[in-house]
Amino acid sequence: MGVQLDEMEGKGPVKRPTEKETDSQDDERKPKRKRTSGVEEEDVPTAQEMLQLRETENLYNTNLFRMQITELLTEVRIKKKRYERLKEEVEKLKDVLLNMSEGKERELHHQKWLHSQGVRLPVLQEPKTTKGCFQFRAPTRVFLSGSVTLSTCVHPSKAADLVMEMPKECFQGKDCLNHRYVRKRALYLATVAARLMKAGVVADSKFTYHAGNPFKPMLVTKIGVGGKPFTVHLHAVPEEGVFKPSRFHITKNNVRPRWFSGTDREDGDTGADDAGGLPPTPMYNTSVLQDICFSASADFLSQQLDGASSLQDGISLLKVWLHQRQLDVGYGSFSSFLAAMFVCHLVSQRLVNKMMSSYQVLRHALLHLSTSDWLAEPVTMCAQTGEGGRPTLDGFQQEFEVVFVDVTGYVNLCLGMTKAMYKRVCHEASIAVECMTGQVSHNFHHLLMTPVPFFHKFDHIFHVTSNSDILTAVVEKCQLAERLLDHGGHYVATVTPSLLDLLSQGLGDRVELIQLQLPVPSVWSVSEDPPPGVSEGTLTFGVLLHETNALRLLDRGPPANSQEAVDFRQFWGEKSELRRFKDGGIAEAVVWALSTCLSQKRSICSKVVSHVLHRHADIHPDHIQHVERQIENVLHVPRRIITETTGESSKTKGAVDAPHGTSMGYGTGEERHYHVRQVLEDLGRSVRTLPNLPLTINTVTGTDPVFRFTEVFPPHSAVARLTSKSLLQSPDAPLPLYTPALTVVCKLEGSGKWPEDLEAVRRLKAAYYAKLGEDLANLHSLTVSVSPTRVDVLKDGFVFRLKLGLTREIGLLRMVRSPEGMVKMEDTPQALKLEAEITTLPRITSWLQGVQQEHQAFCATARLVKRWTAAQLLLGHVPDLTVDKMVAHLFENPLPFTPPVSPQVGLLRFLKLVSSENFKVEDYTEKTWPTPQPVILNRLRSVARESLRVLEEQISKPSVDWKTIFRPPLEGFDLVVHLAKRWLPRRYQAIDAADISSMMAAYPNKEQSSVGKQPRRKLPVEVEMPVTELDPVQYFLQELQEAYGELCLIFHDVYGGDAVAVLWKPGALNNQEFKATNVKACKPVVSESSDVALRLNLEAIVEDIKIIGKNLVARVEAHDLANSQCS
Amino acid sequence: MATSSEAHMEIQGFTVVPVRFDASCQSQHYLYTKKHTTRETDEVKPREKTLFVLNVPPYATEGSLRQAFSCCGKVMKVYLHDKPTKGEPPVETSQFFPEHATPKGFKVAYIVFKRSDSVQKALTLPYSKPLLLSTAENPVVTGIEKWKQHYLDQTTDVAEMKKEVTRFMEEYDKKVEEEQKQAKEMDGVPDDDGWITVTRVGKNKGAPRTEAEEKRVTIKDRKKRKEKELVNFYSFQIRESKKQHIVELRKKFEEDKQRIAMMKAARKFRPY
Repeated sequence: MGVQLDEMEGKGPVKRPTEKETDSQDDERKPKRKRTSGVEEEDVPTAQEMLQLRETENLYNTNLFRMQITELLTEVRIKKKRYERLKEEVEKLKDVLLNMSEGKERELHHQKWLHSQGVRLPVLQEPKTTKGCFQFRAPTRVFLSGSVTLSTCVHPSKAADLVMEMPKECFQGKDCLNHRYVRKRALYLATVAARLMKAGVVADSKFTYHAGNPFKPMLVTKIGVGGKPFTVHLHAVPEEGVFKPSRFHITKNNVRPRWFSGTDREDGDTGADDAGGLPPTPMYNTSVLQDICFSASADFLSQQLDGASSLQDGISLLKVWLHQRQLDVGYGSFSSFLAAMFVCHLVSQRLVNKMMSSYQVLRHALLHLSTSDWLAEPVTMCAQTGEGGRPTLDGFQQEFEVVFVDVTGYVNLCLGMTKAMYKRVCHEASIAVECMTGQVSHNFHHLLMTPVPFFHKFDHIFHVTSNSDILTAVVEKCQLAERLLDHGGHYVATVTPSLLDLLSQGLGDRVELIQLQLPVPSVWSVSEDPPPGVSEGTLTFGVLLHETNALRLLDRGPPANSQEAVDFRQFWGEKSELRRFKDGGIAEAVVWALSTCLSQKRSICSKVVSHVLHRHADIHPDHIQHVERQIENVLHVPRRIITETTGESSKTKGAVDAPHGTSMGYGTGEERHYHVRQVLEDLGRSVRTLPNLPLTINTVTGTDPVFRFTEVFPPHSAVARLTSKSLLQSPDAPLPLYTPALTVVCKLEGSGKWPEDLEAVRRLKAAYYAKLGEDLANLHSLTVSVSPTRVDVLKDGFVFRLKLGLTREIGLLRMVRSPEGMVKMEDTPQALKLEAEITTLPRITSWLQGVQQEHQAFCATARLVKRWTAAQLLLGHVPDLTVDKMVAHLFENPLPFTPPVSPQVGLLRFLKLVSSENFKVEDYTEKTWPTPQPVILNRLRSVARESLRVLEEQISKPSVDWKTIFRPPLEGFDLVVHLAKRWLPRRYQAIDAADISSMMAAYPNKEQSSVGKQPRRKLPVEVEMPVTELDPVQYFLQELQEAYGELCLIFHDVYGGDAVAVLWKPGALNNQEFKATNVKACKPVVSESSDVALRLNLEAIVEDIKIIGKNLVARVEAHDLANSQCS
Repeated sequence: MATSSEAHMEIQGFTVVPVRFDASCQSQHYLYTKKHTTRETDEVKPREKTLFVLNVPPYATEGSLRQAFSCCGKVMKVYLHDKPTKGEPPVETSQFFPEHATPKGFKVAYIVFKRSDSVQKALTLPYSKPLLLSTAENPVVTGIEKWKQHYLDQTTDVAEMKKEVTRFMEEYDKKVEEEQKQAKEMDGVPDDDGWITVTRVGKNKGAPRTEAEEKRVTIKDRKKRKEKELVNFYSFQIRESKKQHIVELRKKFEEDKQRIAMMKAARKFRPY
């Protein structure tokens, strides 16, 4: 025994880091211990191992999280070897830079010499002339800085920041004024660019703005071109002591309006002290200050972070988090520099320390972001803020929207950040905190791995056309001339804060967030001019709606005659009116819509936006494009159908007293769902209270999609003229308009008297149906139609199909008696089908009803998604219940987003979910429901990916054809069967339905048809049961499935699709050996080995299809038939 | 394979008979026919007089096959099945409650001729002359017409249905009563070998013999045993449980490591 154990020990699979050290002493002890304890194989854990195990428990959420973070960091960080090579390459570049020769002295505006070298100045020169001379001298110092040196560098911005110190001699006395410094700096960079190009040490040189700030160009270039090149960002800062920071105090003016407006060509060359009374230029000043205080910040960072690897890792994680949310790019973003500074701030506040794990650093940073409010309490890292000539916090707050003062006390790190942007960061942080407290297995993924793109984040997207006319008008209307001066003629940055303020004032609590999509800073070649201050294009705004407030019909303002009322009227203009409220108060109010229809309510926010921007920023509504409204159009039903099916009521009574189902009220159909449910409730009441039934009906649950709010086209009430059976009897009449039967499951009171024989149960149910039908007809005067398996009841124009749900029957179907007499329960297909019908569906229906109650957008989203799935010919192959569950998942588990409030963003997120690698359909299926086949899932994934791409592109560009992704793709199928439109009773639902009037004209006229005129209410028994569930395409598909189901997959868009596509299963077209079991639909052929073989009889099948679907099939198109037959 | 115009084609004992829907069709399906041969004698499908047909197209009906094969002699009966089957297809006993699915799609047919030489004739049907299923006299209705008719035929005669149900239930009740009576009589009476069958009626009912019941019993047993056990009572047990805890921690660690390795392999750590 002992010997055996010894041997096992030698091969022991467990290897721990400390094993080597403890090996020698352990050798003797181990076998002994083994023998005594009798526990197999395990040894005493070493202290270090225990520590590690415990640490993961305490410091990280779980083992898994810790390891995931480690893996992520190795993935995004710069590799050590590469870092070494980078240092070498940088050294080489440094040598070149430091040894550059002096240039000639030239006037600032004289730049021909530069152009001749193929380089243009990388700043906007508006106005063109400014005084001063420039002479290039080699930098005094060149050093690496930023994330690479701090080991916080993460993919994808792995660029090394190389800083050149411009020597004192380059500068003169008044360089602080009128963009002179900015232009000198740009000239310096341009010269360096030109010289480096000439020397041939760099490749691919370009300019871009550092952090999107148009005053701060930087040179982006590649070095080490021999191997995998490195990207280097070259910055220039003045040597220390050239400028006094106080010269750029944020309240001072350093850009003279007279110079800027061009009235004073001679450059307002007045002394610094004459600046009194001139508008301050905080933005310009801070841009310069950033350069002046550069070393101080850099030193501070490296001092805080050197050797603190968990802080570095924490910052890296924070940067990944920011990048996934697209918060770290653009002017006024939460840049990675800011992120590093923020963590250092937390360290100095003792909220974070070096002993913490990277996960804890991230957690604390996010926690702090989510709870703090910098707008109310600005943050400073400088102990002497406001002293020694430094600006006070109040001073900062006056000039900037968000304030975070750096260590020097002069610079606001949140330069250009809008309140909206800051709120967005806080909002994301609180979601992240929620992620971290949620279910363990997913939080890593939600937190760091899932991208949160702009279009997926916001419920409502709108584009504002931006060109110089519009922007100039905005600047004028909002009185932003001083700001424009400060921004050096960059319009977008100037107007953004004002526009956002206007919007948030107008939308108020309807929205959670409003944000401008920050444009990615443009990158241009050194030989080109920088982009102009007004770029033609669009400004894209995103609005995150509040789920309930967004749909409010009326904004109640202050009470009449108060001072606020004047402001309110001033803000809303003619929209504001005095109204008396139920509580007796009289107040100013704005009413946005009269109809309570959801689709109308959803449009309120776009109305507010258009109104506010028009009134206060002179932006005409024509220049604003709202995205979501157009996508909703695919849920509309042609007006003609609605007016015809609601009968005369729409003309005589109008929309006022018929809130549901009229053309005015249909909208996108949510109200119809509620209406049908209401009718069912009435019917349910009648059914439950029937007095003479042998067993009372306890519960009545609708299981049709319409009852769970996911029917793409909820039924319209049947009008006898359009759905009469007599239409079937005459050969020329069109088919009755499609009327679905809405399945309703009725559960009976319990009884022990049911027989234990399935056939007997069937008979008794039929007898019950007969009795039920009879009673409903006699006592409630309803039109019924009884069959052995159901009762159809016509109520208010809707056909309800009542079925008894006997749970006992499931048991009977599952019961299998083994030969030994043991009774076993097995999931037979029939049992599963019945269970789905009477147990699963009612359960899911009530769950989804709850979802709809909580999230109003569920209905439209689910239907949009379903329509898309059907349009891609996949609905049915992917069961519609599965689709519903996936959509519900988007609402119930929205992390890292919030529940969608508009159908469009719901559709986007659905497409994203389905196309992602991690998508598992098993999460959304039921035991009783078929799981889609892998081939279908692959197809779903690829079409989702394509649709997502198209849709994202369409959203980013206004005014396009939104129906593109809803048109069935017919390429790539083997056979396409085109159907005759005449025989499609649902063709009005088609995505491009056009010939509605000709379709409707084929039906008998109102005057001619006697049934149509019958007053329904007086003689209801006389009303004929409409033709229900008659869609010839379904019969056709079923017959095809029965005949060829084993050989192929059949696809069709149930919503008015006029084509059926067929795809052969792999191998179906191959030659087969002649066998009695193989002959199905085959013809004999002589194969290569001159044996007789079997091959699929394609020509005959094509002809069969025409025969089976006689009249319905217009033509059959066979793709590549010749090719496949050749083989 | 024979090629002359009057010749028939035979593959591995099957005669190939082309068949078209009607005269206007361009292409054809191929029936594979053979004399019906089975080991056991089948009364409804006599060996000598029955033709066995494979690959009958979906729209073919008993009537249309009878019509098509009447060229070989008088057809007595045509049986359609999903797959080769012995005996007659099941006959529905009820008008309202079908118990058997009718064959769909491509089918198998047995054609019973009056005379045995008709089978021989059928087996030499020429390859070049396809049979027709739908003729002007006996058209096969398909497509829209068929479906319209199908819908119109669907109505149920409720009174008739009720009558049938009553009849069935009377019989059923009688049957059940009889069974119960028999069971009561047999209760406690030993059979030939001296065994007494335990039934649901009678004095000694016994536990129901179901899977669920059996499971319940075993679970109950296990629970009982567990209740008797002492946990963390002796010091060695405490030691063991601590050890177990460490083992579990380690095991979880190892499992997580493996999961990570799998995720890594699947490139799950590339955030963008």
